[in-house]
Amino acid sequence: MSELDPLLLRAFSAARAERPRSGKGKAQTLAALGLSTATATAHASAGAAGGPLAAGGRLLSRWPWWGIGVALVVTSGAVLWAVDEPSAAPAVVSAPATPLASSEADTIAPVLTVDQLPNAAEPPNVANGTKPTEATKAAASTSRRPAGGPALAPESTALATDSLRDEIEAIERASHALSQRRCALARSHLAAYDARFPNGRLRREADVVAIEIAGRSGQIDRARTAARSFVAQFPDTPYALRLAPWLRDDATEEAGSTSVVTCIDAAD
Amino acid sequence: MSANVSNVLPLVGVVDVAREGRLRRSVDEHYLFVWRSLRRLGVPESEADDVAQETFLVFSRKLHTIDASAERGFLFRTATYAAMHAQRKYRRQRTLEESAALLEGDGEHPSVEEDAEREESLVLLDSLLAKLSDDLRVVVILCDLEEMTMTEAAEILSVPAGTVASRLRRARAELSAGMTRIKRSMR
Repeated sequence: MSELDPLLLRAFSAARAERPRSGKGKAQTLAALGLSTATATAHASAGAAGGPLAAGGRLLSRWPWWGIGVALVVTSGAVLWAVDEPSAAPAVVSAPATPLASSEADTIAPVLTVDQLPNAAEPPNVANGTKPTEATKAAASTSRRPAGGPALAPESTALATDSLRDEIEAIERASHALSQRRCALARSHLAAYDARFPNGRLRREADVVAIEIAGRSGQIDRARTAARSFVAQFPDTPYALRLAPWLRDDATEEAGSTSVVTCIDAAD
Repeated sequence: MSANVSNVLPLVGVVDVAREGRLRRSVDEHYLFVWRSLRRLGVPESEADDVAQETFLVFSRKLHTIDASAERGFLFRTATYAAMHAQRKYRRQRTLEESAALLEGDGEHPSVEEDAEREESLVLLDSLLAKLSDDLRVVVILCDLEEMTMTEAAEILSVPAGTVASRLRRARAELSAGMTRIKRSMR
């Protein structure tokens, strides 16, 4: 480096010293990520260390006291309404404040189940607030099983293994293997995902991971064709950024380029 | 099912808080690195914050797949993709307006002359970097500008350290040759 021209070294120094003119961009990035900017670092450490209690405390500290009052009034009204009309679906859904003992839980109709959460699996039949029986649970699991998909063991259906969470975990395994540059392993995890969730809700993510596996394992033409087809099908997809290496005109050279991380088992 | 819910919801909270903390720390630690890398990859200053934001949004979506030790590398690779896209919309060179605005100064800086000199250096460097191939440019950015070791750069670029060393040699030679040409043309 010392042999470099002094002017060039000065330019390097200038580049190292360059900063955004304001902190606005960083603040906007934090906001776009859903993170408040006021006490960024303090919250990060306190939140990570404190767990849900810290999170709850933070939430409380952000709420104005009048807000809590309003919430209490609304909740009271909802409870009174629910008492008057016991057959109606609950107007306010909330998780129990403390974990319930299993025997107690079994006697109380659930106010919110994992399956009823947004983007979760197709909801089981709990119309009119009636308690779902084992039969209805089994029926719901069966109805959610993809046509032609592998039959699931009774134990696993009882645990609703085809929930969104399971689907995420299944695809995460493939993504994680890919991030470790192990394409063969990623491919096998993706095959397991495909077999288990043939009509999965993360199908697009799975397709993109498949293209990435192909591209990173040296199957450039295949990745390129699939990437273009994908973007043609979903023109506004944010996945286009991930597929960018295989959407370029010079994509055939990407495997040897620095902009694509190739797999260490690419030959597999 | 209620028991399951009571077990799952606190876990969801823990996961969310941990994720939030990690995201926040990553932005705190790496924002400047991403921003500077984007600038040297040819993103105009007026767009660098926006492209940095895009980079972190991609990072956020993939957070669960990224090892904590590989965050910087992931961000750099994402930034290179994002810069490539940004270049389709914006010219590589700094705009005249940008340079003029910087030279005019806003009164916050101690020396307008120093700023102008720094700005000249940056324009010079960017023009030289623009002439390098992508492979060589990223090595200069990581090793000479971000002062990473060749091993660190090799890890980020997924190439052997020897490849980084040879690319760095070539890059420096090309930069020096470019500088010589500029000096000759100025005489």
